[in-house]
Amino acid sequence: MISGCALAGKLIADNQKNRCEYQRSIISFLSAAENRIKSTKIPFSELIDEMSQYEEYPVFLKKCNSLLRGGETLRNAWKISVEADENIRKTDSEKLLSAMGNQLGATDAEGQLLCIGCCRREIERKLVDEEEKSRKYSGIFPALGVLAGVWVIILYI
Amino acid sequence: MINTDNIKRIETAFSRLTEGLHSAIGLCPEKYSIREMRFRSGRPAVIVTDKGTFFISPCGRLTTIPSSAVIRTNKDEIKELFLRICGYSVHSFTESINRGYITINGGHRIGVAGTAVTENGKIIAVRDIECINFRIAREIKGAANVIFNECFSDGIKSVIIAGPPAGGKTTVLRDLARQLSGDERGLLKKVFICDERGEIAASFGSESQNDIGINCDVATGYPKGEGIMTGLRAFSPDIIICDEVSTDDEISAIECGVNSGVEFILSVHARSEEELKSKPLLKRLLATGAFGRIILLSADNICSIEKIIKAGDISD
Repeated sequence: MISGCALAGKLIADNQKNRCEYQRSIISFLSAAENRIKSTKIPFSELIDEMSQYEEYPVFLKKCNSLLRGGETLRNAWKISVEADENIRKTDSEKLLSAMGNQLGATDAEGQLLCIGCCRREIERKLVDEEEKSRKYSGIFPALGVLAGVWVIILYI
Repeated sequence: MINTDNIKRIETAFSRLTEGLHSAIGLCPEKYSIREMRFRSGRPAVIVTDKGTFFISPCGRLTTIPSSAVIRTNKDEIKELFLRICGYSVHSFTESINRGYITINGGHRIGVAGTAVTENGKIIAVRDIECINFRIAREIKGAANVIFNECFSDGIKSVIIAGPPAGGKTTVLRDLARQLSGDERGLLKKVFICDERGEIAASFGSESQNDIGINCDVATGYPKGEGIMTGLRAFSPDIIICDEVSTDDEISAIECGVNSGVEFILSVHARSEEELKSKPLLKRLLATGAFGRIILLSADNICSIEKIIKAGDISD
């Protein structure tokens, strides 16, 4: 019972850690996109097609790419795929990425870089808070799990 | 009879249209003979085919009467159409938009015009796009057969192809590149194409979509003058092909190439011999001594020769 509760606590802590990892992958994608747009002004269809091949970037890119290939507009493909990504569902990252999607492809390179850069910086700021939380949770939740297990046993006895 | 390659190419252009326009064009029986599609904010869509200028109804019927039944494009549709043409990536085409056109997959040139934003007399952006003109590209293999036989039967010499807009100059240049650098005639000449507008080779994703021959290199998007210099410096071409020569920089680069012993096949805009004679730019080209003949294309029949003019006749 004690180890079961400890494991549940650890799962919660791991979940928080995974969310941080995923946000890092989003930041890494946004940085790469900024670099590619700055250096080559690559169109989004090609950029997303290229980036969706890499495992280290967020999974919603794969869905977005397949929607684009199916003839969906960039704005819709981006919105649908971001909203369908369970890793960021109902988080600030989802809101930020969705808002960014409304501006994608509609302006010159400078405008695109500003828009992507703004979203990246905001997610980076959120990540600092999330990492702080993750550090706390990694110790607290397993310990709380053990305590909860002990408490349940005491009640049972 | 239109071939499968051209059908695919034309469909590529149609795929950029908004849903309503795409379905109307899709229903049009003459869709594969369309040469231009013109869309303006708040005005009827205009379709130019081999037979003339028409308006189009939502069910794909072409008519010469701009009644209320024909398709009109509003401001939002023009905006959406513009974004679709850019592949939702305006940033990838900014310079090109500022120059007034976008070349899309398939080599189709799409003219765009709106309100220019200028700085120090230079266009830095175009906003409120109002007019869009699709020019449908076609590849006609063998289009340059007659010209080839007339001009190159006694060896490859520099030549100028002159003609009116939509007279087939680019089509002829493309076919000449294919025949000179290909193995069809056993020539396999080293041909270098300066394809500033991406219309000759229609390169997309680092691959030419048009057949330009085996032994042919392409510089896409380079300003023509710089493209020619790149070719001279790095590709040791036998022949350089360049579309629509018009500036002093380009002529200077051509003079440089002529001095290096490279042959040139160029195209220039001109509707008649008189117009050719009035062009100072052409006189400068002829002064290099490299161009012995000018092929004037017909305004009535695409890719057909109106007249072969000797350089001496123009210089005089």
